[in-house]
Amino acid sequence: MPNTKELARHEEVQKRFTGAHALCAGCGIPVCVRTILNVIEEPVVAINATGCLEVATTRYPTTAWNIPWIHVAFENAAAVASGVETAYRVLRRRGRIPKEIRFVAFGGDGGTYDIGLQALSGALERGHRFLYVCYDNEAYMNTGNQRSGATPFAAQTSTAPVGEKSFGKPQRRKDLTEIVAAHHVPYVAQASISDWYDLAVKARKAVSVDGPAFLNVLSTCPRGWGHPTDQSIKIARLGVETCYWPLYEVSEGRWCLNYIPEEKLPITEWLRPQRRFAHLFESGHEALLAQIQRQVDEDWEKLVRRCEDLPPSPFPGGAMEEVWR
Amino acid sequence: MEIAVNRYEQGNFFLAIEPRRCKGCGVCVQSCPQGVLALNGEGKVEAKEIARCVFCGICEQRCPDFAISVYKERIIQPSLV
Ligand SMILES: Cc1ncc(C[n+]2csc(CCOP(=O)(O)OP(=O)(O)O)c2C)c(N)n1
Ligand code: SF4
Ligand code: SF4
Ligand code: SF4
Ligand SMILES: [Mg+2]
Repeated sequence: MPNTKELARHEEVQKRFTGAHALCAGCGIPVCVRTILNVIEEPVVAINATGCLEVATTRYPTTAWNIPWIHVAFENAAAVASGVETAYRVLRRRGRIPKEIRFVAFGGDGGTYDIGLQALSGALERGHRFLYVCYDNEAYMNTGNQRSGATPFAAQTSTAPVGEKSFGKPQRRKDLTEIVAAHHVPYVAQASISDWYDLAVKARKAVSVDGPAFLNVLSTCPRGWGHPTDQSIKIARLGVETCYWPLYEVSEGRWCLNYIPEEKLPITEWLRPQRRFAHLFESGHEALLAQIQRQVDEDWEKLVRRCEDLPPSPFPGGAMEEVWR
Repeated sequence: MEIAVNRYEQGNFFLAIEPRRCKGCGVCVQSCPQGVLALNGEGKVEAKEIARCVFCGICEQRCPDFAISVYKERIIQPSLV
């Protein structure tokens, strides 16, 4: 794994994702995309589903992408990646393409958990060699914060309002990382924009496997989540420290926890700074808070039991994360 | 047009911040292992404790808006041109 200075040099030689985007201050998307693209050594082709990333990086006549970039529709990033990768494979076999190329598809949670799930499942099952990155901001943000399959239980969204008879989204979120792992692909991992080194290492592993790889990256959205724009990294970090968003990977079928908090924080630490959960702190909603804590505890225990490998101690992110913890 | 760049130095190492690009998201502030950076009253980032900087480049790597450059010797980074 290259160190940060080598990575900085790599980006100077080839800056793949640039500042020419209009993503909001505090948006987790550019942090995620920049990190992932820069750790890949080989030339990269990006495939992008509709969503904030696509819309805010391609304002005509400008683009933030300095690499081949393909956008077709909302639901088919994985299908497009399949087609491009297949064409590449054939041309490469015929000697028409002299070098290795990597394919990375980016989709939001709406484009991945919901509308693009069928395309993704097909591509995983067919075994195309590509990396699919879901930046999970837990709702359809580009169209104004509608609830998705990734929106957590009890979060307020524009289509899951809070009122006398409603408390936000009444259903639990689905666990996409597990769904993808059930496809028996060589590499699946969950990461967060807060843990830079972990994300970089995972992206590196993901493009090195000969087959489909998937990263589910927790990505803040200050507009939709309702938190100060200058607190994104801390908020994402709280998702990890409360075990709401565990960092783990499934490599060749082997489950491995990449990080265990020294002291698991109560889930309220993650919920409180976000306006979408503000109603949970009004009186009368204590049972909901308890229910959320119970769900997190159960999921975490299940995951710990499932993981054969525990993280090396200390976590390789080490000093970097120490400062504000 | 002259583009404002705030330069900080420590021997041969430099850290340059281009306030025009900075959106004040705090990503660099919260990622710096040394607690060097802070947002000022205008919501722009400053290297408040440059003496503690180890020039690791993490802030440069993470900024979503390419507002920070960390480099050795007095050269202009491509991102600042
Ligand atoms: C088939 C189709 N339906 C609806 C839309 C409108 N649309 C554009 S972006 C978007 C939301 C995308 O949500 P998500 O995938 O979570 O990405 P985010 O905006 O959160 O980055 C929707 C519904 C569309 N472009 N195409
Ligand atoms: S609305 Fe949310 S996801 Fe979209 S650019 Fe803004 S912060 Fe990012
Ligand atoms: S180079 Fe490293 S130590 Fe210096 S300000 Fe940036 S992140 Fe902090
Ligand atoms: S990460 Fe970039 S945009 Fe955000 S506060 Fe730091 S310099 Fe400014
Ligand atoms: Mg989304």
